[in-house]
Amino acid sequence: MLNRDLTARFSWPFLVAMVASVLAAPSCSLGKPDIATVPAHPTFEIDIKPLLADHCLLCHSDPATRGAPTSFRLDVYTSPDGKRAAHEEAGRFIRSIDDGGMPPSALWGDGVGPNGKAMLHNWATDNYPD
Amino acid sequence: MTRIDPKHLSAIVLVSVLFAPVAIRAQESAPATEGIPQVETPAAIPAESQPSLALPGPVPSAASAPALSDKPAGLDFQFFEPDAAGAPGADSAAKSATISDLSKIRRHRLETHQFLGLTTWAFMAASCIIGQLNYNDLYGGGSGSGSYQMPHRLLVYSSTGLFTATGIYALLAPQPYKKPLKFDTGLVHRIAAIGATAGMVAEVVLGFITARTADSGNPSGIKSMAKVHDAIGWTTFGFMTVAGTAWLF
Repeated sequence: MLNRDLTARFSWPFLVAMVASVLAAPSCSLGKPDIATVPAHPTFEIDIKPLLADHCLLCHSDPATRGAPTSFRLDVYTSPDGKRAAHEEAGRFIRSIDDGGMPPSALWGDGVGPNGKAMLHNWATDNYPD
Repeated sequence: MTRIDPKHLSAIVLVSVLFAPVAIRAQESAPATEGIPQVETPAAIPAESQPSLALPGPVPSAASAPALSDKPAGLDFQFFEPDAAGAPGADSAAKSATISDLSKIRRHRLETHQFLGLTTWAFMAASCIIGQLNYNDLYGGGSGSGSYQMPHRLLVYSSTGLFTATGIYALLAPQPYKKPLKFDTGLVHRIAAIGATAGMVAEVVLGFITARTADSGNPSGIKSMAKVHDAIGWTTFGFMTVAGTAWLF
């Protein structure tokens, strides 16, 4: 008999599993892991660009995607097409990362890790070398 | 601006989902137990087919009438419910009143379920169409404006909420009498609804993972996840369509 008891017996564990799945999703880390060590004198091509590729370039590349501004790109140090590039935007995007405004999922704990931020600060201290 | 911790929000949703049915059940069981002795719901007698259970006069006892509790519902029913407790008139009236009350509650909940279900179906259709446009925009080549992201997000939040409410109303509809299991539109509806529920859970989890991965800038596997999410979305919509149309035939 497909009765109320039977329905209840199977539906409640199912409902609990559903809620548990939905609750488990936010607790997962879905961004890239933090870098292992912090270079003392990072450069754009060797150190910064891979970090940006992990956290920023899905949207802030060329062409910009997912509604990102088209006025700048972060995949190059200086832009050949007249757009503002990583060197010109460095101060702004580092501040944005520090504030937790970028990447958008920094709100959920998926932003740039402490080592990554420290490396960006070292890069800024050295005046953003290529 | 005050930010709400998503974990707190999730906890509130969990508590609401788990306790809402308990509260509704408590509400529905309160009048039935007030001054009425606890009786077992008759197994085989539908409320509509129980004529004059409170009639005065001699009522057959349990000894003279065969028990029907193990038989399925159908035309082979007995007018006077056998009663071993010794007060057949009062008990029968109480049972009749209980069945009648439960039937009314069931009708109201299932009508609400039907209305919510059709609304959910419409929202799901819109979610799938906008979601497909979103997929084409973000992963179909080209720059990807992202202009469908927010409409898709709002639609899926609405659809998920409506779907949950629809399911809760169905699960909480009381069943005053048992029905035999057979392959009919009801069974098709249930199977399709279970499929749609599984699809919705997969959609919520996978959609959330895809969006979060994209928001963190992490490009690895994102297109595959979006493609699976897209396919499951349409499949879920198909299950909902089957569940809805099952009642028309």
